[in-house]
Amino acid sequence: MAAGATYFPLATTTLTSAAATVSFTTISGSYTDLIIVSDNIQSGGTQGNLFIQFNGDTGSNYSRTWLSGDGANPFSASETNQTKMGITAYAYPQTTSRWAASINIQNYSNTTTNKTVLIRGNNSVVGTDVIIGLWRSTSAITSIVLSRSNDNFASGSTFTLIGIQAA
Amino acid sequence: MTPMLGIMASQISGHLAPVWTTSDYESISTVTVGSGGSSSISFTSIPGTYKHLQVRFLVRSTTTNGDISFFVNSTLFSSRRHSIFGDGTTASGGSDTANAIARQTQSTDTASTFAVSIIDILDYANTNKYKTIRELGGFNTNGSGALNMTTMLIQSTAAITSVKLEPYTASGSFAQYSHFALYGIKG
Repeated sequence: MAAGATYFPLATTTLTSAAATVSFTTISGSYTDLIIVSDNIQSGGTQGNLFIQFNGDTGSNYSRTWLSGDGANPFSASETNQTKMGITAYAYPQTTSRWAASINIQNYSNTTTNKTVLIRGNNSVVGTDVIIGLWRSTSAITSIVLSRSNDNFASGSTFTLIGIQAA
Repeated sequence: MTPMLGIMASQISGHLAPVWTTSDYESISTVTVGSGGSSSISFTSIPGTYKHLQVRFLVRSTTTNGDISFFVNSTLFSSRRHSIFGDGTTASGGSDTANAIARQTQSTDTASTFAVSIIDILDYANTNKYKTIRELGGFNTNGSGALNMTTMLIQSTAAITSVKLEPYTASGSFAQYSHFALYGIKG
């Protein structure tokens, strides 16, 4: 039997000036999955990848595999034992083309499994990514930090955190 | 509802937007596998009151079986499947009539590590056309990993009223803490 509304936009922000990081803190454990939806752009400087970290963990506990296309060829590669999880590969934001993406964090609040993250990112100019990431921790996720190398998130970048409940 | 989190962005003043709810995405049923494992997961008596269905799951095998079969209305369709894959080294694609639609981590993989998958079943209650299913999923174990995007044709015009996920060729079981949730999306 359906349980009624189960899809809750929890918080959203549109940057009014460039920012090095965006953080979601004090995340309730009341949901089953989290989704971050973002549309962001590079503020200038050197292009670079985007990253995610959980619960302030800066240890070498992140890894990922990706499948990407650049308009000509498909690619797949992986990383192990990283201090943060890359959430872009070929579809990174640029100054004139946006990164539109969803980040699925499934069963984020359980305390028995490592956390697996499924990312779908697009930039119509440079490429498209599917990324599967692992955070080797059984802790419930209570905070998330998004960051990027080489540059800031530009003004106008949007970030929305959604919680999905299960019956 | 009461806001339960904050947004902070360095060098800017972030803000909490008003929290709102939508009733267009509803949880229909959820299964969490217990300590004995489970040989399959079924969602039955699915009402036809939604436009689309979505199955979201976290899954691990009790054996070395890495694939999952997808039954619709108690039938294992083998109509047509197209997929693209990435294993961390090579990207590839293919098409066949196999009915495996998702991956699971295996008993030999890093402990407590599960695959995830999202399956969308579009216009599932329509009785005038065949159904198309799309899946996005994969796993990473800090040493190995795989990603797959799959679309599968269900060559039947019957409304979908039940779905079942089962380890491919019925070999092995879903491990404890595997979690399956079915949602209905209104349109």
